Amino acid sequence: MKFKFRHANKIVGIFTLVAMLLLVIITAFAGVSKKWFTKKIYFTSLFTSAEGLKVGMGVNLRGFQVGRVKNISLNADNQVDLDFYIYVTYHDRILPDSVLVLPSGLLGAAAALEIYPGLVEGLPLPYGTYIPSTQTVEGKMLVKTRRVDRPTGGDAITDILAELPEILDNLDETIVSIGNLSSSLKTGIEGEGNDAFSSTVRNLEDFSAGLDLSIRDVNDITASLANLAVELEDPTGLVPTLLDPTGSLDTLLNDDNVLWDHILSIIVQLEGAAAGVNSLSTSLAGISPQLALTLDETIRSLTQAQKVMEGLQNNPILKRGISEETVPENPGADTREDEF
Amino acid sequence: MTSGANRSLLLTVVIPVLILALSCSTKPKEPEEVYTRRKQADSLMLQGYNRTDTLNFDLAWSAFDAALDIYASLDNREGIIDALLALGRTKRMTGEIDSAGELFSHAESMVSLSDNPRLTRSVLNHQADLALRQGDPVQAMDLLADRIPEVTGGRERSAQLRLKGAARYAMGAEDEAAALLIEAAGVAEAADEAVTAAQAYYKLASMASLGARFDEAEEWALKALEADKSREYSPGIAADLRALAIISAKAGKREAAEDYYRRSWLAWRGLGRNDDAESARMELENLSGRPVTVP
Repeated sequence: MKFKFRHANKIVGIFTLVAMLLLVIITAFAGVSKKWFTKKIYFTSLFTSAEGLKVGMGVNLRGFQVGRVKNISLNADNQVDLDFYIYVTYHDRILPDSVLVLPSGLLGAAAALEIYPGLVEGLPLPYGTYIPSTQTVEGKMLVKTRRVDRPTGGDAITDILAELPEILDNLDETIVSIGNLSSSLKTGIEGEGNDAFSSTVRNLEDFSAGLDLSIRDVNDITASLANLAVELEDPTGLVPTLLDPTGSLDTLLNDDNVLWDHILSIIVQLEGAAAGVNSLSTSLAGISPQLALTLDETIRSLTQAQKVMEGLQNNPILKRGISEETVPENPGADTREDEF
Repeated sequence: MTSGANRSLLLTVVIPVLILALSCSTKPKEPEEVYTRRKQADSLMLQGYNRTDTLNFDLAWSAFDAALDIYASLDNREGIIDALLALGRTKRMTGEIDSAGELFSHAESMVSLSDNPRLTRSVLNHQADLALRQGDPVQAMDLLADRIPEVTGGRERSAQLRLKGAARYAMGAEDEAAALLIEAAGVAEAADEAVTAAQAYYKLASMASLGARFDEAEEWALKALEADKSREYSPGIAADLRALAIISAKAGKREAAEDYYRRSWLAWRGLGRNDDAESARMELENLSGRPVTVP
């Protein structure tokens, strides 16, 4: 006997309908969860390089995804224009002075950009507004002058590592400025420049010998700082090793002290460089206020870098944290003005 | 007691008590913003001291003044007093004695509100130094008298003894002065304050030289130089070399004097103290009888 469904067409129709309904429901749920239907507010930003950026990457605010990257393009000035959007539900957080950050400057390929909202009170930034990134001077200054709401208090080692890009920037800037100053000082001493400094120097008869020595010292220190900065940025160096997939603590504990020794050697280098710059600063302070100020900046950067390294050294195992600096002590009233 | 009871006791009583004790004994941390601001002020103070050493008084004043503003905004009494003393010292070095006195008085009124013997002694030492430079050793001795409570060691105690020695010397009691200065150096050495010890040795060298005891003067000056060198304190080294040059010249050791003058000239130049450098260069020219130029 031939078997036959009496309502085969109806059953197939119902199944098809249910499947389509399920598809619509699933799509709707996916859309809601992926915020396909949420209204988006678009903004633009500027980066110096597209490295680490990709279309579709998230924009996070304190760990919450609040938007996505829509488009990346190379502009006429060889800068990278980035278009991104923020979901309307988070729009009220995007206040003036907000800054976009690419954490992957240090951490390799980051999954998401980070946005630091501005701290000023006011209306949220309107559609299409330009929000600087920390790869621009404006963005750096907003972060440096603490005008943004920057998260702190996470894992201590992550916090310390997050400080490194800024410190490396500072080191780079000071190295360049010392180099420039060194060149202009040399030009001045040789009497080749046309500026007021050069003419002043031409009239100083007992200036050149001592300063030539000083410039050699500056150049030496500049070179050693440059080496140090390169070492810190080395893709096979300290920081990537710390971020090894097996984890920083694991690496530190299980590599026969290789990384540990690396950290210690950098600390020794930093201490040496800081001491050298410090003594040079003292001896040159009276000769060139500009040079002295630049060197003060260098010392500050180095001290900061030294603290970061010290934090790395102390954090995972010893838990000593970053040590207190020495408080300046009043040298007292006496200034050796006695007669002989 | 059973091991279970022991464990319960450990978990419920001993560990919580230990944690409580630890949390009570740990110094509370400064808020991050306050810490950063205080560090800024501390850096400015260091800058100011460095500028004072190189006689850049305008820059020193600006640094101390900015530090004072920050300490005041943080209500950091110790910082405020140190900044006021540094400002007063700057004024004293530029010859503005009245302003220096006013700043020290201001520091005194601040310190009277605190129970910090170190700060109190620091203010009194500065005031005594000012009195000495105004030619009033009696008032200086009054300010340097021991108080209750008094610091018993370290830099401020050494400075107190050294200033007492200077005051007694000004009053004509040289032996007593020398004993006080030697004690001052000992206190400083014990506290690992080499530069403070060098100040006492320097004064001893000065007294011996003025008393025409040049071998003794040289000995003290060399001790001062050694102490300053141990801390690479350039202004002290330059002053010690000049002192040794003068002593050697007075003692008739011409070659040694030339060597010390040359080194002090280069040291002053390195510090940017051009007037002192020029003065040393001219002394060297007079002594050697030939023109001295940059090596």
